[in-house]
Amino acid sequence: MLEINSLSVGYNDRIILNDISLSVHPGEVVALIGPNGTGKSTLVRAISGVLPLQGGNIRLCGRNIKSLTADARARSLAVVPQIQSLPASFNVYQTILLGRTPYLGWLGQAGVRDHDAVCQAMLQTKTDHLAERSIGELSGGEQQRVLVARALAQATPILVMDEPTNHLDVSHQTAFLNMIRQLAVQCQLAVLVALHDLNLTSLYADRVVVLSDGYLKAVGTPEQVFSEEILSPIYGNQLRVITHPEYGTPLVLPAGPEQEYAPCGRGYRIETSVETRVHAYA
Amino acid sequence: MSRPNFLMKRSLQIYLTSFGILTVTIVLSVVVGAVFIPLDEMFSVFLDTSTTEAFSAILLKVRIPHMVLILLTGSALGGSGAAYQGLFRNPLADPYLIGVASGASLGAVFAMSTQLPNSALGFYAIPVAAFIGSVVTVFLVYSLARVGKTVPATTMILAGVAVSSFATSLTSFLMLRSSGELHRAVSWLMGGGTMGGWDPVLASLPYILIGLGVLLASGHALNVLQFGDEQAHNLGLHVERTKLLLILSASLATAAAVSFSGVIGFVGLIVPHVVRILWGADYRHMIPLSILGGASMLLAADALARTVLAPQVLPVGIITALAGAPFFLWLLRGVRNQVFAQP
Repeated sequence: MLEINSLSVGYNDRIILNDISLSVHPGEVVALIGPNGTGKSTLVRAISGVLPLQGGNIRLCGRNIKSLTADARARSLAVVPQIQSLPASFNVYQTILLGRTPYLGWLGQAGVRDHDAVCQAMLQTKTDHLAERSIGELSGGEQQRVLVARALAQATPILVMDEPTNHLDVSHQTAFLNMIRQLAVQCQLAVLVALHDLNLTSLYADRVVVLSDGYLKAVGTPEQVFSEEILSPIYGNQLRVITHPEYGTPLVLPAGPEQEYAPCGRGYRIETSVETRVHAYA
Repeated sequence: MSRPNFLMKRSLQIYLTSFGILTVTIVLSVVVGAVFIPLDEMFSVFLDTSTTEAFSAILLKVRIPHMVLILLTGSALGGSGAAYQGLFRNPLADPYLIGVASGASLGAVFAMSTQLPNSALGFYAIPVAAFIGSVVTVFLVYSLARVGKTVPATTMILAGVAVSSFATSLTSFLMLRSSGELHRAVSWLMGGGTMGGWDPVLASLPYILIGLGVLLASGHALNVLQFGDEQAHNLGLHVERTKLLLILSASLATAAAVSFSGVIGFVGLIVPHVVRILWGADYRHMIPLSILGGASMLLAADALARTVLAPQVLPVGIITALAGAPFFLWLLRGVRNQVFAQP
């Protein structure tokens, strides 16, 4: 179980997150939402121990993260990063095997148990048919599943994910979140996942944590948190919340186009830019 | 699916091939030179049967120690090159990226220009000065590149380039001021500094063995580092400790190699690329194969350098680039689409 107590984090002197407290229990999927730049990724980086804490503490299964060795931390907590460019020369099997790093010695000699863990992780994420493919040539959805498989191979009770559905289309997003829910329940994982899409969050999260301007604004079930009163000021937008016709969960609708548009004076702007260019040449 | 053995067979094959090539180049390096030694004579020296004393002397006092020194130097350059390319995740990285060569050059040229060879240190003034120069440079680059508690690859590369340029300028200045030693200095800078006898072998052996030993054990750590510092941290690696250990080991091996042989370019750059193209980028195999490949390439280049204009001996750095660059480009043309094309 993951516990965060009055956490403060920042880069140098700039504080990004203030007084954040939350907990994630085994078998539960907690979504982390909030507008761009409110510190979702910073919170993920703080939990993973990349950023030094300026206040508060983080406990992984009851133990303070500061007191853990790198190996012990990586055996309690796995992090699924946003997909960036992955090293194309690795194949899927090799990539997932790296999840066993905290269990291997310095030489990295993998044993039968490590290979079994990799195979199981591939089955759970349906990546077994990709084993010999290079990760560089996979689609975004496949790459994301491989990164989850690597995290599962770490065999940790806690799983933290940073916007894993970013580059996926809607069907891959739902398939991915279904897989995460299933893993959370079957393996009793405590899952904290930063998400962007409010409606997917509402459908798939047990609880929601809302971050805004570096503060925790609300925690609760989607039904409790997804209200026009809470979300509209945070997103600075007149949002509408309705009920899903099939599941009864809240659906968040964005504000429509504004009725009147102010003229933007495009012609004027082109003139000045031409002028400045002429001046620059002269 | 059980343990993957689709890589096992191929790796056995490639190791056998690599050792085969190395054996051929070792024999080549021993038999060729100003005097050609026939193979049967070579073996009779070892089997202690009748042989001409001249051949025996050439082999045991000149050819074999020289071969071993070149083998060690090539191993150090190949292995360190692979480690640096993995560490900095930069295909342009070579063992000289963070100033080992420019520091060694400055030390060596300083020793030549101040006539240190005539001092108490004797003939060893040049390698000792080169070794000190390279170690000081690497520590300078490392401390300049520190940002808080971390040493990002980018600042390390930039600090390396800046400090290298500074050291190279000083070297050029020293060379201009001491025209008497100019020919020797230029030759040293092109890899023509190889010293004879068993002493340089014994002096450089511990550093190269320790350095390469650590690199050989770090293949898995280098694999993890390919995913970036943050993911490596999340996978349970002590990122900064690992980086420091790798930099120290690779620099130590390179510094020892450069000090006794001069600056030999290109081996540390292309050998890891050749291995990557032919085999793949798993660093648990990249490091040993680059060590074998570096030794083979340098032995072959050195044999050429001693025969092309025999009895004159060319600086081996000229040969590595002259013969190595076209070979590498040919290899690159064939496969660049598969290996270097990013999706």
